[in-house]
Amino acid sequence: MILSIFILLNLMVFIFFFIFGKKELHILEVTAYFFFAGIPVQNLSALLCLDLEWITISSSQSLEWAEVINRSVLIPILVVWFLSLFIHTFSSYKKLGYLLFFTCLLTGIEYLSESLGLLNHAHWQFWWSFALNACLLFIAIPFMFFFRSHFYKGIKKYV
Amino acid sequence: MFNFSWNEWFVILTTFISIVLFLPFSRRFPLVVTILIWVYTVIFIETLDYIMGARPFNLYDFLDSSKYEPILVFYHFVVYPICSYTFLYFYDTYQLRGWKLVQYLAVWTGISVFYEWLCLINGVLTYRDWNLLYSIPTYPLASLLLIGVFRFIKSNLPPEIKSQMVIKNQMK
Repeated sequence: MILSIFILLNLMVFIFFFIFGKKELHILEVTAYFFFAGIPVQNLSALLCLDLEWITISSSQSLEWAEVINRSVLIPILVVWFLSLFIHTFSSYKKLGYLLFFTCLLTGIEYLSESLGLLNHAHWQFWWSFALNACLLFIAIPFMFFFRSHFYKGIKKYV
Repeated sequence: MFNFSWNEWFVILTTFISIVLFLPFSRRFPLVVTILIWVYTVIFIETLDYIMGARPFNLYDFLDSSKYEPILVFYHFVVYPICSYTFLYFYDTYQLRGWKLVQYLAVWTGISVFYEWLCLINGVLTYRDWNLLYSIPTYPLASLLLIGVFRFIKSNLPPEIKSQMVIKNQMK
């Protein structure tokens, strides 16, 4: 049941992103940012769950799969959505607003996952989630600028 | 926390050799394509290794324990992307299709299985519920997926970047 809810949530976010969110980005930009955003998520999860055991993942197979899907699809697509809004906003306040909103959203999803039994924060402080999610969004920004600087070098924009 | 022994040296040695072998091919694709191949390979292999090697399946262990050892970043960030790049280099340079592609996939599968066996005897990899034979079909599947991603990238490249690839093709 919980797995189905998360599959549905992932699908909805994915579809909504392609209808409303991606318009400002080229499809290869979306691809690059989506893959890139998953890298820190996978590494952090491995470090926190397998090595440090500060976060424990449910031993139920369906809940584990829900966590895998969130980690591989939902979080990266939300990072791409954030980047798409961030790059096309000129106001610094708006950029900061998006950063805060998406940090809260990612932290909210993490704690929703905990309340539904997907994971458990064993040795954890709430603000660590907030800081890590903000870092996740932060490190995606220089990658986006780097990629765009090469992607659009000497060519007209395709978006 | 982690113990540094021969298997860790094997990882470092492999990384060094792969970088040296990679250098002659390193400027085949435009940087944008290289970045896309790199991020795809890293996320694909990390996700697969996490699912298969740790949770939920726990089929094999890397190095000395079932934990995630930081030295694995050499494999995930350097060795695998270099393999993907080199694989695509020959695929794209010689425009391998049909029977030639089947032969090419067979050769890469052979090399990959041989290297996996080297990892086994050098203690980099320890099987729990896995077998070298199970790996044989996974390599051509992963290669076909990589080709699919590469073709998707190529078909969506802006003409200016695509033309750089054509120029390099003509120069070969």
